Amino acid sequence: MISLGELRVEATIPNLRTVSYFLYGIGHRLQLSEKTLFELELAVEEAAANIVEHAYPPGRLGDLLVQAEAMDDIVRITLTDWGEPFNPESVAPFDRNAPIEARMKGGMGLHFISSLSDSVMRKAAPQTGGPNTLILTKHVEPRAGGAHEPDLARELDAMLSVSEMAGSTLDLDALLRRIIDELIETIGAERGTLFLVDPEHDELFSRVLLEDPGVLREIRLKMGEGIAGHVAATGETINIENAYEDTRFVRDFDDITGFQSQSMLTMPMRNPQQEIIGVVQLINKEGGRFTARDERLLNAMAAQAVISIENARLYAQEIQQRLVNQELETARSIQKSFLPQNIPQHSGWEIAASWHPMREVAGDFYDFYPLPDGRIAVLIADVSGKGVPAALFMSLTVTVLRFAMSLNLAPAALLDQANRVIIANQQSAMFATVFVGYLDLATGVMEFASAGHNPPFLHRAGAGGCETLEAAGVAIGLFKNARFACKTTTLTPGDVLVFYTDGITDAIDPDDEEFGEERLGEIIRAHAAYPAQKIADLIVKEVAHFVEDQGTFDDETLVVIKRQR
Amino acid sequence: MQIIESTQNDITIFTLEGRIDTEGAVNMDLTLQDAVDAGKHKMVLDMAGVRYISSAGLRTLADVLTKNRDAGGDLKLVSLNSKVMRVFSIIGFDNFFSIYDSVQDAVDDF
Repeated sequence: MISLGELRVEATIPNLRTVSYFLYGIGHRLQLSEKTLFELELAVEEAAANIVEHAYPPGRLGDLLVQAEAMDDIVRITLTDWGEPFNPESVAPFDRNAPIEARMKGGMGLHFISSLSDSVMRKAAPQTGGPNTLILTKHVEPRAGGAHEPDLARELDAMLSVSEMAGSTLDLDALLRRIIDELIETIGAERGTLFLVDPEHDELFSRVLLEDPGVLREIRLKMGEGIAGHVAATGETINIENAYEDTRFVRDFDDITGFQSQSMLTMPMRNPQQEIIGVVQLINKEGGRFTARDERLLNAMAAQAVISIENARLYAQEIQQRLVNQELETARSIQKSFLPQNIPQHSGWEIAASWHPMREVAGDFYDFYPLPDGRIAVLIADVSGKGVPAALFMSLTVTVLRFAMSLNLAPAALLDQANRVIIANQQSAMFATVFVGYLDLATGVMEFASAGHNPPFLHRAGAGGCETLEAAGVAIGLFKNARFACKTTTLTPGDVLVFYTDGITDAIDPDDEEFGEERLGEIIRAHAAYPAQKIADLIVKEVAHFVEDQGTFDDETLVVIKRQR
Repeated sequence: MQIIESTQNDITIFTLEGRIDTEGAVNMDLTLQDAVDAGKHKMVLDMAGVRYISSAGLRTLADVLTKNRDAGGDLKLVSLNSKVMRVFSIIGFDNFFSIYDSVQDAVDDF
C-alpha cells in the first residue's frame, strides 16, 4: 500500500466536512470517477460521524485520524479514534424490510458503510484510551480518460456541489489560519506566521497574521531574505532567543506593526517529496525561549499541516478543473441547441449532416431553414477561433443569419445584412466564413453566395466530374463595405453537393501533409453513387484514418445533399 | 444547507439547497420538526438542489414521514438526483416515499 496522506482533526461535526474535502483531494490524486468518490465519501462520512457521535463522552473532545492508502485498484481508508471502543454488535442490524419507523435508530449508517465498501475491518483497543481502528477498503474505478458524462444535469449538479464546498471553510486561507492558531496554542507562543513558497517568483508569502493589525495583509519575502527566507532557502531550523541580536532578522514588520519580536522558532515545512513548500514561524514563547521539545512538536505538527495544505491545493485545482469542464459542457449544450433538430426530408432528395467539434464546443455550424417562398436555405459556417469565445460568437452569427433569412433576402443581400449587424454588435475581432444556398427542391435550382467560405464540391452525375461553387465575398465581421456576389447553379438528378468546413481539408497526417481538396474531391467522385449519409460518413472516416492517431485539431462539419435519380 | 419555505393551500413546500450531510441534517431537522410541531403535516420537499445526503438526513426524513402520516398527512419528495436516489435505494427508502418529478405533481397528489 502507498500512503496518500492523513488528516488528524478534532472529532467534531464541522470537521466531517474537512474529512470530505480530504477525500476530494484523494479522489483527485487517484482520478476517481464521481460515482466512486461519492460512495467513498458517504461510507467514510458515516464512519466518521459514528466516531464524532459515540467515541468520546460528552464534553470531552478527542481526535479523529483519517489515513488513505492505495494500491492498484484498491483504496484503503483507516479511521482511528482514542475513545470508547465501538461494538457493532450493540446495534441492531439494518433490516431492509422493516417498517420505516424501525429504521430511524442506528444501523443505517453501518449499512451504508458495509454496502459501499468492499470490506470493513474493526480493531478495538483492549482498554479505553487506546486506538480503535476501522479499515474500509474499496475497489475503485478510475475516471475514464477524457470521457464526458452525457447527463448535463448531473454535471451541473457536480459543479454546484464543488463550488459550494469551495465557498465553505475549505479554502486555503482559512485552513492556514486554523493551522497557525493550533500551533500557537499548542506550543504556547504569542504570535505565529505561516509562509508559503511561491516558486514562480522565488518568494515566500504569508496572508496569515494573528490579530491582524489591519496594516499587514500579505507579507512577501525573497528567498534567503530575513530569518524565514533563510530557513526556506537552506532548510535549517532556527531557534533564537532574541531576534534583534540576529543579523538576519528584518525588523521592518515589527516597525510597521509595533510588535516586539523576541524569541523565535522558525522551521521549514516539507512535503512527502522533501520539497520545502513553506515555513512556519512562532514568535515569543510564553515565559522565555522555545525548547527542543517545542521543536519536535512543531516539526510533527508541521508535517501534518503540509498534507492538509497540499490537499487543499489539490482540491482547489480539482474545483478549477471541474468548473472549466462544466462551463464547456454547458456551452456545448447551448450551442448544440442552435443546430437544426431535424434534417429536412423531401422526396427526391437526400440530405445528411455531420458535426464533429474538436473541443466540447465548436466554431462550426450548419443550418437548414425553410424560406417563405418554399425553397430551403442550406447554410454552413466556420467561426474564427475555438472553444467558448468561438461558440458565443457562433450563437450571435446564427441568430443574425436566421433573422436575415426570415426577411426573404437573397443570399448575397443576406450576407451583406449579417455582416453589417455583426460589425455593429461586436467589439472583438472575430469573423465567420459562411456559405449559403437557397435550393428549389422542385427544379434543383440553387442560388448561392459565399462569405470567404471553402467552395462546396458539386459532383455532376452526367459528366462524372467535380466542380466547385465559387462566389466572390469575404468573411463576415471584418469589413463594413464587404460585397458579396450571387450565383446560380442547378442540381440535376444524381448530382451530389458537399458543403464542408476547413477542418476537413486542413487535417494533417503525421508527416504534416494536408488532407486537401483533391483528396476530398476524389472521395466524392469515387462514392457519388452512395447515399448522402454514407458519403458523409465515409469522408469523416477517411479523415480520421488520414490523421492516424494524432487526432484532429479543428472542428469538422459536413453537409451532403444529393438529388436522387 | 438552505431551506426556503412556501405554502400552497394547506400544503407546505420546502425547497432544499445544498448538502444534507451530518451538519446539514441538523438544520433540516430543526426546520421540518418545527413545521410538524406547528401542525403542518402535508409537506412537499423539493430536493432538486440536494447533491448529497447521508444517514443523519435520512433519519429525519423517516421520522417526519412517520409523524405526518400518523397525523393524516404525508411527506412527498420531488426531483431526487441520481446520487441521492441511489442512497435511497440502498436502504429501500424508495419504497416508502412518494417521489415526483415536479412540485406541482406532488401537490396535486394530496
